[in-house]
Amino acid sequence: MTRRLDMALAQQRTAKKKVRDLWLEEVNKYRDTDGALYLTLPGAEGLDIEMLIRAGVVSVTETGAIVGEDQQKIIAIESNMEAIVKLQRKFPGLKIRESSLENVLNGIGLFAWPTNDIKKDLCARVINIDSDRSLKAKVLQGVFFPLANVVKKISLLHKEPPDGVVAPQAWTLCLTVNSTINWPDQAVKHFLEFLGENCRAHADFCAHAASLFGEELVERLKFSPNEIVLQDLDQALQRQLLCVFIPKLLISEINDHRWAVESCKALSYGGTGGQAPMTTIIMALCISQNNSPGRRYEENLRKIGPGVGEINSDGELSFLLD
Amino acid sequence: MDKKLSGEILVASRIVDYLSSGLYESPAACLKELVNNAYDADATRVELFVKPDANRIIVTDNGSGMDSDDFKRNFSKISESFKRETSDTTPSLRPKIGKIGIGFIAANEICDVMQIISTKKGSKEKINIEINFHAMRLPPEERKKPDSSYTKADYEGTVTEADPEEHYTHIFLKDVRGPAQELLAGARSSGGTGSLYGLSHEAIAERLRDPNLRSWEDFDFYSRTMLEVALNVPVRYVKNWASHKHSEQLKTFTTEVANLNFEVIFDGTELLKPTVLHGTDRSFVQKFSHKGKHVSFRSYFYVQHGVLNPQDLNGVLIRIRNSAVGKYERGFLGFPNSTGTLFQRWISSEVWADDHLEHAMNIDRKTLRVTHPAYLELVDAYHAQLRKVLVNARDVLYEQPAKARKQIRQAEDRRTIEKVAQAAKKIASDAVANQINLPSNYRKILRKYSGAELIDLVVRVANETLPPTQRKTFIDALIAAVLKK
Repeated sequence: MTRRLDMALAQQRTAKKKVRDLWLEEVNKYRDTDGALYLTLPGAEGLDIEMLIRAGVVSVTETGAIVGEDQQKIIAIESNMEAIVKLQRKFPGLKIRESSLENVLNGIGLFAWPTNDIKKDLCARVINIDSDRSLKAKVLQGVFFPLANVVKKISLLHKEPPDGVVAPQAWTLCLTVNSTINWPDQAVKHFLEFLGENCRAHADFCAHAASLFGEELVERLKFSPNEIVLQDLDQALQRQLLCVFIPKLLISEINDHRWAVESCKALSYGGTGGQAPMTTIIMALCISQNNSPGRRYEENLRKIGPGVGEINSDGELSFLLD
Repeated sequence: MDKKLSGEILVASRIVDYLSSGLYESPAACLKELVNNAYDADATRVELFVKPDANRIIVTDNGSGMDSDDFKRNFSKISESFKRETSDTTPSLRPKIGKIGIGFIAANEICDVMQIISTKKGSKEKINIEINFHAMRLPPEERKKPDSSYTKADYEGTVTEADPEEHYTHIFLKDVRGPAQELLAGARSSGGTGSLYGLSHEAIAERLRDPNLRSWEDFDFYSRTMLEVALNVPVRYVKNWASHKHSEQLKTFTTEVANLNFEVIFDGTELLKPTVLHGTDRSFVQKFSHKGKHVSFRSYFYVQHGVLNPQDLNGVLIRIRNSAVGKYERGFLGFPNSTGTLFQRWISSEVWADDHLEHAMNIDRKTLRVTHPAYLELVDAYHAQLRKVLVNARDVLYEQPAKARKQIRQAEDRRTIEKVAQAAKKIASDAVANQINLPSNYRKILRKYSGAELIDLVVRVANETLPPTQRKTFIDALIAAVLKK
C-alpha cells in the first residue's frame, strides 16, 4: 500500500519541480567536493535522486546502478522497508540508511552522537529534509521544535566533523514542511512572541516584516502578540509568517556554531487545486568571519526577508520584497 | 488489523548439527538458497541488493508469498522433508528444489537478524517478522527471560492489512556478520580484471569470454559471489554460450532452462549462467543420456584443444531439479587422473540428473553421498562415456590434426625433392640424368627424413661423388631451385 508521503512525493507538480531545481542548484555548488554530497529523505520514489542522476551529479552504469565511485555521494534515509526495496530497485547501489533522521542522529539531544561512519554521512554538503508533515511543536517545560534540534545537531557535525572528514566551509540546508500550523496554544503563543521579540530587537528584520505582513500586524506582534488569534489571519499571511519564522528559528539554533547565512529562500507553494500547502527553506551557510554572536545573528536575520517568496502553480518563483 | 506474532523456531537436532558445522562456507551458498526458495515459491523474478556496503542484503521476489499461517507452518519447525509434505511440485508445476526448508535458516550464516515482509495473493494479511539468529544461537539457558520460565521468542512481528492482489516476499538480512560484509563490499582483487558490478549480462559474458581470463579468482569477491549464485540457480544460459558452432547441438539444454521463466537480478544486473565456452575451431560437443535402474541423466561434454579457461568451468557440474550441486568438479567424479590426463583439462561437462540422484545429495546441497546406488550408477555410466570422450578428444583434436599437418609437410617435401631432381638432371650428363629418377619408395624415405635432411644428404653425396667443377654447378643449381620454391 502506498504511503501518503510517497504519493505526495510522487506528484510531479510543477511547483515541486521548481523546488527540486533549486535543490539541484545547491548541489551543483559542491559537486566537485569529496565525500558525502547529498543526504536526503527521498521517499520511495526518489525523485530528487533521479534528478541528480539526470543532471550527471552521480553516474550510473549500463544497468542503471550507481557507479562505485559515486556510491558515497548520496545518502538516503528511509525507515520504511518497502520503500527501501523500491528505492534500491530504482537505484541499485544507492546507500540507504534504514532509519529515521532522528535515529540516524542518535536522538535530538546533544549527549548521544552517532558513530563516525554515520557522522561522515551527516556532513553531506546538502542536507535535504523533505517532509510532507507540518512542523511539529512540543510543549515540555517550554516550547520546542524537534526539527530545530535536528538541524542544530547537524550544524554542529558540520562544524566539528569526525576524523578523516575535512570540515566543510559551506553547506546548504533544504527543509520542506507542510505549511499547516496545528500546534498547541502555548506553541502558537511562543511563535508569535518570538516573531514580535525579533521585530522589537532588530530594526532591519522589523522593516522586512512590515513589508511582508503589513505595519498593523507587525505592531501587534511587537506589542500585543498574545491578542493575535492565528486562525483569524488570512491563510496566505499565516504561511508568510511561517516563511519568516522557520529560518529565524533555525538561525537561532545554528548561530552559535559560527554559521553565517549566505542566502536564504523561504518559499510557499501548493495550497490550491487539492495540493497541500507547503513551505520550503533553502539556506546556504558558510563559516562566518564575524566573531560576535550578536552581530552574526543580526546579519543572518537580515537575509530572511528578501528570500521570502512563493512558487506559483506554473512553477514561477517570485520574491515578495522585490 | 495490526496483530502481533511471535514464537519459537524448532530446528531438528540433525539440522542444528549441520548448521553449526559451518554448512554454508560462502555468502553465495546462503544467497542461492534464498533464491532457490523464491523459485520454489513460483517467483519469476528475484532481486538481490548487496551494494554499496553489504551491511544489509535484500532478497525480494514476486513469488506466491506467505501469510501468518504459512509462516508458522514453514518456520515453527525446521525438520526434514517438510517442504514436500503436500506436493513435490509448485502450483505452477515446477519441481521444488528445496526439501527441508533450510534455505531461510542458511541466512543465519551471514547475518544476525532476518526480517521478512510478505503477503500472499488472495490474503488480506501482510506479515512483517524479524528472526533473531543471534538469540537463537545462544544456549537454551541463556535464552530464558530473566525471572521467567519463558524463552525469548525466536521471531517477532506484526500482521497488518494487505492488498489481496499483491504477492511478494522481501527478505532483509540485517547486521550482516563482519566477514561476509567486508567480503561482499570489499575492494577489488589485486591485478584482476576487477568487478562485474553494474555490467549488463552481455558485458559480463564478454568478460567471461576473454581468453586471458584464467580463473574467476581474477574477479573481486563480490563478482565471484554473483557468478557462484548464477551458476547454482535456474537462470537461463547466455546467448550462444558455447559459441554459434555448438549452439544447435546444445539447444535442448538452452531452451529447457529458458522455459523455466526465472530471472535473478543482482544489484541491477541480470544473472545468467556463467557457463561461457569459447567454442574454438578445434572443439567438439558430445551429448549423452543414460536411463538406468537407479538414476537417469542427460549430459554434454564440451571439449576444446588446449586448457579450458576460465578453469572454474573445467570438470563436471551436476544439476538436480535445475539447481547445481556445488561447483564444477575437476576430478570428474573420481575419474582416474592418469587416464587422458592432458585431455581432462580440456573438458567442461554438465549432468542433468533425475530425482533419484537427489536422494544421494547431502544436506549442504554441494556434495553427494558416494555410497548411494544412484551416485554409483551415475559415476559408472558417466566415466564410461568420459572414456569415449577422451578417446575422441585424442583422435579428433590431437591425432587427426597431427596427421593432417604431417601430410601437408610431406607434400611440401616431395615438391622440393622433385625440384632438386629436376635441377640435377639439367646439369648432369645424359647418362647420369637418365639414372636420376625418384625412387619408387620415396614415400617411405619421406617418412624417415625431412626435406631439409634430404637436401643435406644430397649435398653430401654430391661432394663425395662429383668432380669439383660439376659439384659447384650442381650445388648452385640446387640452392637456386630450393630458394625458388
